[in-house]
Amino acid sequence: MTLQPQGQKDDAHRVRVLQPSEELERSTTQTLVGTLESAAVLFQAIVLGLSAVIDPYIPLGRVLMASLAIIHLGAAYVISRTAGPFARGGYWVAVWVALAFLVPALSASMIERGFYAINVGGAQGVVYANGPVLIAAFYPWISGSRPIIRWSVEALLLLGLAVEPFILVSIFNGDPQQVNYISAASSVVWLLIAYILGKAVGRMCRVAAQRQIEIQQQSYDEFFNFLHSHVKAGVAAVRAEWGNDAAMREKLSELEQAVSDRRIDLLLARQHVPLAALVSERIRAFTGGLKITDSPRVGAVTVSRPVGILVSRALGDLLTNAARYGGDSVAIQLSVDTSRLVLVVADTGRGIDPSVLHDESTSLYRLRHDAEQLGGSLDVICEPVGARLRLFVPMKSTSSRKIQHAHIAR
Amino acid sequence: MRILLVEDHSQLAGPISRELVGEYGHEVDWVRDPLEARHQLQNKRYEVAVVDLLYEHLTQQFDARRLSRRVSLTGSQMLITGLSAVQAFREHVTTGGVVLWTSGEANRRLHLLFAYEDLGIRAYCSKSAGTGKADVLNDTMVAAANRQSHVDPVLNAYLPATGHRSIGDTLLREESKRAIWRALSLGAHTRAEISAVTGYSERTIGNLVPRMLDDLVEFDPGFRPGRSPLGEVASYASRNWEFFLDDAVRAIYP
Repeated sequence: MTLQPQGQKDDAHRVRVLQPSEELERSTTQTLVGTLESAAVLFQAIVLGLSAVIDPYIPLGRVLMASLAIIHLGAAYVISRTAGPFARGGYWVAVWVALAFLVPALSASMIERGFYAINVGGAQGVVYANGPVLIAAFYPWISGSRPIIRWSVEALLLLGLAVEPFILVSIFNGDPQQVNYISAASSVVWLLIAYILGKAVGRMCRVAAQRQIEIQQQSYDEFFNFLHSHVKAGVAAVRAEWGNDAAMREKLSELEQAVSDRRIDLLLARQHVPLAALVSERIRAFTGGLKITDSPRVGAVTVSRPVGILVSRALGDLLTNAARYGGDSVAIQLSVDTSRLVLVVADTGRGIDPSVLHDESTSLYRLRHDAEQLGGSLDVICEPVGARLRLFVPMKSTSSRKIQHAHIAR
Repeated sequence: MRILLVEDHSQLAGPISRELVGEYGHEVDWVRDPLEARHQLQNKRYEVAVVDLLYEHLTQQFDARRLSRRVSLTGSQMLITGLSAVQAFREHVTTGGVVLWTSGEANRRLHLLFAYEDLGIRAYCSKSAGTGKADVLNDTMVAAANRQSHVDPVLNAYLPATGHRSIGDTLLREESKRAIWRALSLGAHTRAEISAVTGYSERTIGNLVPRMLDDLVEFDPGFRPGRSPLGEVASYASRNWEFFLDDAVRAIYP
């Protein structure tokens, strides 16, 4: 068995794939509710403006609140034209969240003594925080792969904002009355309503993102079926009718291979790749040139897309090399269970030096590298005759994103 | 041998029939689909049936009914596939053999498993087997007529591995779950919609769906479920609706 030189055609994907990733969720969220951030800042401007007019501020406080309202109005306009703090990410999020704490505190400090939190509907300025809370509840601003961190940060944020009005009441009202505590509690209720609304929006965005994937997958399936029903059946028919001519057979094989390549691309566009269809397509491409003495049975087993890509490449590379340089027959074994996938390809060729797995110019090196990215391995098993390669992949991979990115980048 | 060829692509069935007659001396009757096959089987005895799995015109007709919600779980006829032709053949012919003749596709993989596990078919030939001529098909037909196993390596991957839990023991094991699989395949994706189709309460459906996901993982050890059991089983059902709504499958697993 010899190796494909570097630069030789790899089965790079020509099918653009939507994955249910954080990136898709983020882009869907931005598309669907991108304007919500500017609306949230506009809401804050209105809260500050109304507060400046209605609430019993000291003169400096009234001017300050009115100024903040105008600044927020301008910020809302800028955000509507560009991007909001969460869309920008990084420090912008921290600044907005910090303001959610600071502005209500500033507001409370500017209220005339004894008049803070006297309205049972809520304390002055506290609903200012509802804007960022609503956005924070649905925006994928912390990686979805770290749900515990996200829930912890959200819980801390909510807890901090819920406790704040009670602290402000005790600081700025001197001798708090029951009405002050009811006012502070009402503020917490508004906070929770904003959070729940945000979660509902988040769910809507996730459903929309999932729907995009389903629609794309349906479209692929329809094309896949078209390739089957018309193109492939047509090729088989032409082969049956006029396949005696050698030139015609060669052209038909090329066309069949092109169709097969595209079908593999479409198979690998799925989240759950049907292993049987993948193996079948790969074996089909070599049935004329290789004697397949042993082929695996995998039934209805599916694998994740990264594992499917790896198995497809492994079969493609190993069978191509066996056909070019190996013996006349190949045995393929594949076993899958809940914990691992093991693929063994053995040919009767002139054997292989295990050192090629460490030669960066070979396809086997890249294959081994990608297998290791998934936590697996590629080994050469020494045989008296021919070569035997064993690909091992754990089924519960933690670094599947790496191989997707590595493969797409190639 | 007397051969019944059930294939909807005339451009493929024509030359293959001629080759089987001209080069191998068989007597071949070609019909377009399992409905015609049923009629043909009432009039004539065959030694071998060569059967394709899905039929484009029947699938399109049924899909139009499915999408317009004009299919019920118990009343109307479900999707007619090659499995119906196999059942009809078995009803009329006790000694003959059946060859499944298919390209093998992702949306046919459950049919192929079912054919192996529940219908006992042991002869499988790919439409693009070997040189593309009828030689491999002829070998497979002879094997089927002699009740011998003959599986094209291209299709072997679709058959169950040793120790595999069968589809009848997992996905199709319980009537209530089968009803939900079919309801999902008809496009019902919420508990209320499934309840309206199946007659089971939303609470029952809520209890059964996570167990259906467990069945699915048991059936397909490579399957990695996401967060929503209902979303996962709905997605699986919609991807394999041709199987779950197969009339022949319903005949065995009502």
